[in-house]
Order: sequence, then C-alpha cells, then structure tokens
Amino acid sequence: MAVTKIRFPISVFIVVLFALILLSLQLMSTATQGASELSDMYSWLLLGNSLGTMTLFVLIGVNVYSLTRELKKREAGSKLTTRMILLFVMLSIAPVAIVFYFSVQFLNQGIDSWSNVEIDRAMEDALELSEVSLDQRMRLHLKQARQLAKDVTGKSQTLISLEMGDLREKIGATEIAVFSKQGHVISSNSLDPSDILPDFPNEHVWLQVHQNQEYFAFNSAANGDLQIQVIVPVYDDELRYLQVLFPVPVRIADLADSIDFAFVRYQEMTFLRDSLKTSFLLVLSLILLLSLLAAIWVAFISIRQIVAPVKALVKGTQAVASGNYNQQLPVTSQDDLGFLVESFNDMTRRVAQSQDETQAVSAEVEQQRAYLETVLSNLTAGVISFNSAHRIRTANQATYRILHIPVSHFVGRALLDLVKGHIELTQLLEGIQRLLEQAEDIWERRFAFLGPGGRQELLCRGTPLFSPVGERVGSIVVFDDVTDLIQAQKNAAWGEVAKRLAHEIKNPLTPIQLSAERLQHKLAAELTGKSAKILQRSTRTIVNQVEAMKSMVDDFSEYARSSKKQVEQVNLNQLVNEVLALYVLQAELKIVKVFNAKDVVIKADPISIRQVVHNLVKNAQEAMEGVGEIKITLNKVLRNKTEYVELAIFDNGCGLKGQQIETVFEPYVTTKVKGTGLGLAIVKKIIEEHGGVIWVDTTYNDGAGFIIQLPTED
Amino acid sequence: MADDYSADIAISNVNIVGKGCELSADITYKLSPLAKEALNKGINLTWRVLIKIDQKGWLWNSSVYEYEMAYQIQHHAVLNLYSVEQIANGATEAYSTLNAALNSISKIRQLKLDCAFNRDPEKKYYLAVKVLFDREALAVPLRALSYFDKQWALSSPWELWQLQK
Repeated sequence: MAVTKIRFPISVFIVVLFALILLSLQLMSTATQGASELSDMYSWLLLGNSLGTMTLFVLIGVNVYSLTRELKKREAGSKLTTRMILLFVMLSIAPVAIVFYFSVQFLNQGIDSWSNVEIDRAMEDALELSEVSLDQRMRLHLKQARQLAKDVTGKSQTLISLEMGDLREKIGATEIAVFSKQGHVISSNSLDPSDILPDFPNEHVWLQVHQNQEYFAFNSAANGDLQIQVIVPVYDDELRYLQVLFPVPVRIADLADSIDFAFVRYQEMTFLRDSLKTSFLLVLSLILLLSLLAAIWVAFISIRQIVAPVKALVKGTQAVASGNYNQQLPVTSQDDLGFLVESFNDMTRRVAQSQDETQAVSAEVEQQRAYLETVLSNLTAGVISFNSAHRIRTANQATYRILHIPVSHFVGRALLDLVKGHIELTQLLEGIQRLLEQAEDIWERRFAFLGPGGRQELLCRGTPLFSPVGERVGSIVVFDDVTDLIQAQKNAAWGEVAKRLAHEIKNPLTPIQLSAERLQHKLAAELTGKSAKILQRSTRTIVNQVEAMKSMVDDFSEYARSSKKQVEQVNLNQLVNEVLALYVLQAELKIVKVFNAKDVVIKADPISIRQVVHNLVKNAQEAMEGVGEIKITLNKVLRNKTEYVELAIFDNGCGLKGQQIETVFEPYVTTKVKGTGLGLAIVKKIIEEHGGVIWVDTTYNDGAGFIIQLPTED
Repeated sequence: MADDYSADIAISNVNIVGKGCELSADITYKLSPLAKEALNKGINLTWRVLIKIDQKGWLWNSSVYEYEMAYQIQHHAVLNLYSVEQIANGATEAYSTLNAALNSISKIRQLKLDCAFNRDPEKKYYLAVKVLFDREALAVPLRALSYFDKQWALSSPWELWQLQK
C-alpha cells in the first residue's frame, strides 16, 4: 500500500514564523514602554527574541555551511543559489542599514529634545518653591512646638495631661505626646480619640533627637497623609521630649506630591536618557536583525525551492549525458520552470524512445553479426579480416585448424607477429603480408608450409575492403587447405599421362622394335657393302631409341604409381645404412654418416624410401662426378609439437643455383645430359605421399643439400 | 574589592524554637555610585531577602522551607526623604537619610520562621540567606543593561548556617 507523506506547506510555515516574530517584536516594543503591563516581561521578551535571533543565526550558518559544501563539490545549482542569496542579502541589507541609521538619528534627536534648559530650570524652581513653602511651614510648627515646650516646662505631669487637649487644639496639631528621656510615653493627646497610643518615633528619630536635641521632618501618617513631626526637649527636673504632629493641608500636600511626582519623573527621564537610547537602540537592532535574519533564512528556503527544478534539470541533463535516457523529473509548478521541466521530460521521453529503437536495430544487427560470425566460425575455410593498418581484426576457428595457431588471440596485432615460435609459417605469412600491403584488387595465391601433419598447401584469396566513399578500410583473407586436393589432382594427372604413355607410346614400340629387327634379319643377307652398313646402323638406332623410349615410359609409370604400396614399420637408420653400403666400396667417394637419432622407426613403404635415398645419393655422386664427400645426417626434430625425423644429404658438387632451386623437384627438370628429369620429382612425390616434406637447403653453399622430414611412428 | 557592591550577610544566630527557628542576622547594603544616583533621580530600588532551609543531598540540595521579604526604597525630592516600603504588607516608613533607610532593613532580629518539617536525623540541614537585588523591578530601560553592569550587582551570595541536630 502506498504511503502518502503529508507535507506541511512551507509557505504556511513561513507565514506562521513571521507572525510569531512580529508578535514577539510587538510585545517587546510594548514592553519597552515602562507603563505597560508587559514591562514585567521585558527581560524575558528580550531574551526570547535574542534566542530567536541566535537560532536564526545558527539556521543561516547551517545553510551557509551546506551551500559552501555544495559549492566545493560543484553540485548542480549551487552557484545559482549562491548568486541569488548574495543578491538578496545585498538588496536587503542596504535599505535596512539606511532605515536603521535614520531611525537611530531620529530616536536620539527625539530623546534629546525631551529636555531643555528652560524646563530644567522650571522644574528646579518648582521644587525649590515647594521646599521653601514646606520648610517655612515646618519652621513655623517648630517654633510653635518650642513655645509649647516652654509652656509645659515646670508643670506637673497631671496638669500637662489635663491641658494637653487644649494645647493641641490651640496650635492646630493632630497629636501631642510627652516622652521620657528613655522614650516612654508620659502623656499624649490625639485628634482621633480612638488613637490611645501616640505615634512612636522610630529608632532613627530617637538617634537624631539624642544627637540634636530637636527633630523635625515630614513623614506619613498612619492613614497615609503627609504630616510634620516635631520633637523638642522639655527642660525640667528631668529631661522630657515633646512630640507634636502637625497636619499638612490637603491642598499643599497634593501640590507637593504633584511637584514631587513631576520632578521625580523628570529626573528619572533625564537619568534614563542614555539608557533609554541604548534600550531603544537594542530593541531596534533586535527587530531589524531578527527581521533581516528571518528574511535571509526564508530567502534560503525560497531560493532553494526556486532553484530545485533547475538543480533537477542539471542533474537530469547529466544523467542523460551519461546515458540514462529514462530520466523523468517531477513537475512541481506550472510556471516557466515547470514548462521547462515538462519540455525536458518530453525530450528525454523522445530520446529514450529513439534509444529503444536504436537498441532494437542494434540488437538485430548484433544478431545478424552473431549469425555471420557463427557461419564464419563454422566455415571450413580460414577467414582473417584486417583493418586499414593491416592488423588482425577477426579470425575464425578454421584458422586454428589450418594454421595450428590461435590467430584470434592476436587481434590488433600484425600478421607477422604470428611468426614468433612458428618459423615454418614465415614464408606463408610474409607472402600474405606482402600481398595485403601491395594488392589493390582481389588476389589469389598458393602457399605451402610444413604443418604438424606434413606439407600443407594453402589456396589463399585476398580481398581489399572499401568504404562506401572509396576509402580502404581493411581487407579479408580466405584460405583453404588444398593439400589433399592438389595431391589428388597431381596423382590423377600423372596417372593419366602414364596411362596414355603406356597405351599410346609403349604399345607401338614393341612392333617398331620387332619390325626393325626383322628388317635387319631379312635384309642383312641381301645387302652388302655400304647398304648393309646403313641398314645395320639404322636398325640399331631404331632399336636403341625404342629401348630409350621404353625406359622413359617405365619411369613415367613408376612416377604415376603409388609409392605407398606396402606400408610397414621401417628402421630408417638400418635402411639408410643398407643403401649406403652399395656405395662405400667406391674409392673416390667418401661417405660421412652422422646419425644423431638411433633406431628411428617410421611407417612407410621400404622400397619407396630406399629408392628415395638411393636417388639422392646417386644424384650427389653424379653431381660430384664420382669424386667427393657425401654427408648424411639423421636427426629427430619437433615441428608443431610433432616429432619428425630429418634426413639430410649434402654433397660438395656443383650445387644448385637460382631458378634451379625452384624447379628442381618438377618433372623433366634436369642438369644431366642423361636422365629423364623424373628422379627428384619421384623423390618428392614419395616423400609427400608419406606425409613428409623435402626442400633444398639454401643455407648450404659447398654444394647441394637436401633435407627430408618425415613423421615418425610416434 | 573596590568595585564590589554586593551586599554582605552575617548570620549572628539561629535558634531552634519548637518546630520552628529564630533567625538573627545583619545585612550590609552597599550602593554603587550609579545606584545612588539612580535612587536620587527617582528610580526605586528593590531588594528581596531570601531565606530557605536546604537539605544536603548527594548531587544537589533540596529546599524544605522558603521565605521571602521584599523592600523597596524610594526617594522623595520635595521632602528630601527616603521611604522604605515592605512590599508584603505595604507598610512604609520615611527616613531623612539614605543610611537611615538602609539601616532600617539591615537588621534581622529573632525573625521567627515557621519552618516545621520532618527532619531526617541522618541528613544535614542548612539555613541559607541571600539578599537579591531585583533588577526586574528597575525601570525598563535599565533592566537589560543592569545585567551587564557591575554597579548593579548589589545582590549577596548565599550565606549558610548549619542547623544543629
């Protein structure tokens, strides 16, 4: 079940915050006026607003810190937020500073204008007038009290008590009392009959009396009315004190009170002038600071809200740039930014759609490519593609089967890099590389190399690849192993030749020879002299030439015949020794045997291999004209992890030169006066039919050198 | 100290009487020049004498009894008198000098405290007296500033007297 988070609208929160701040400031402003009931809360309101200010400071500090971190991280929208905040702060501070400055000026001038010299003087005069007036009244009453003290001096306590009422009425006092020196009441009389006890002077008054003998001052009566208290000594036998309390007329008391109140208020106002300025300045600063900070904080929130869609857009753009085309941003407002966000969403939707289509096409292409790759992989022909720099791009599985090298591991490298560790491929790879670099059109070439299974013939076809604008982008080489095919074709061709020779040439030779012999036999007796000699010479020539032709036809038959008639295990060392034994008796011929491999066993037709060795030794003997040294070596070698036996025959005869090296193994190629030129061709045919290879050792310069490699039985 | 205007309290005696006790103490009020000027310019000064009995605790003390007396001194310019008002009952007495006015509130003699509480014999109890100058009773413009001005630091620290078991 989806949970909907209820969010309190930020605008309402801001309105409430500002209302609270305004209320608090209004309360503080009211409390500043001393007469207000809120004045008792002044300090608390001041503290509350100060805490509010500090809280706002902290909130703004947190926001500034957060913004600084965003700036350092180069987060989206941080620079725009900073710029807007700075602009807002500058725009806010300027009017606030102006208002603050002029407010302070007006405030100071206003407070200073409260007092002036005339008012000061008037207040002082009023006070002095009151003091003089009251002082005169007090001195009058002091005089009356002194007179009364004189009147009671010498009178008995009883008499004084009896006359006290009259005396009090006489001087208009509210109370008369006589105290002993120790302060005990001797007698008293009061205007209010309910006042049994007189108003006792306090400790301080007694101290004054004892110090000065007299005391006179204003004080408050029990009912709060102002009265004049006069205490004078009564010098009698024993010192007594007379206390007289005189009432102050209500009008005078009111006037004095009024002047006192006004003067005190004025004094207080004058005294508090600086404090008042400071206090107002404090409140004004607090109000402006609180308002400014609240506005800045709200600006942070508002600007973040305004910038949020821009921030989201930047993040969205970054996401799109990094390949996330499904980016959709929430549309939070219906203003221009909202329209921008909607447009962005529309754009990403379209891009995503295009991307989906592209991906679908790519997938199809990839599928096609995979299909083609599968087809190529499963082709029996090896296929290697190259880039424009002739570096390998792809190679199918058949390349490994044919070349016995994992060519696909050499992607990005040159073809000649394959030579390392595979010297037998040098000629092939160099040939292909040369054609790749030189050929401008389709080419086809046959190459041969020694593979692990013996000599291999490859038919290579190369095709340069061009872009639609004609630029060369690479090339492709396809090659097939045509060893078996070539061999079969050769065999078939030579078989056909041999068959035709036997049928077309050899068959008429016998009748020709017989006819010639018959002519000789019949005509020899009939002819004499010169004619007989001519007949004899002619018939002999015919017979000899027919014999020669028979021999040639036999050689062809031999060449056409399969050499692997009877395959069996052959000890090559022993076989070579047997052949050489036929030549060791010749005095001028030196045969050197170097058999590094002992008891090499191969699977072959012993007659054919014997013929090979014999042919080669004989060739060498003829090349040296019977005088010289023949060196025969027998070694075991490894080619493509397969063991071969290497039989090499070197002579020190006239050797082979240039073109001879290339055509020495072809039929009808010979340097001898006699011979059909089939000897080495037969040798090559026998070796190849046994899965071996023969070549001329071009590094040997003292004569001719032939190297044969045959697979061992292992 | 030269600038120390805090009041001093000297508890002379505390007698346990029945369940209550009687306190005698002398308070010396010291007025700073600024406070004197303010008083003479019509600013009323208010002190509160706070009395409490604390039970000593492990981390903090807990009050088992609290009592307060408040006085306000006012100057009357016309009559040149200083009146002392007991705020609790409104009783006012006028004095011709400031010293006389301050003296009138400086002596506490056998003040009966009805501090009946169940005393734990295992605990220690202290009678504490403090004179608190009430800044909040000052005129509004002076209040905030008085917290930062030593001349208005007229209160005394707590003076303790351990009650005997």
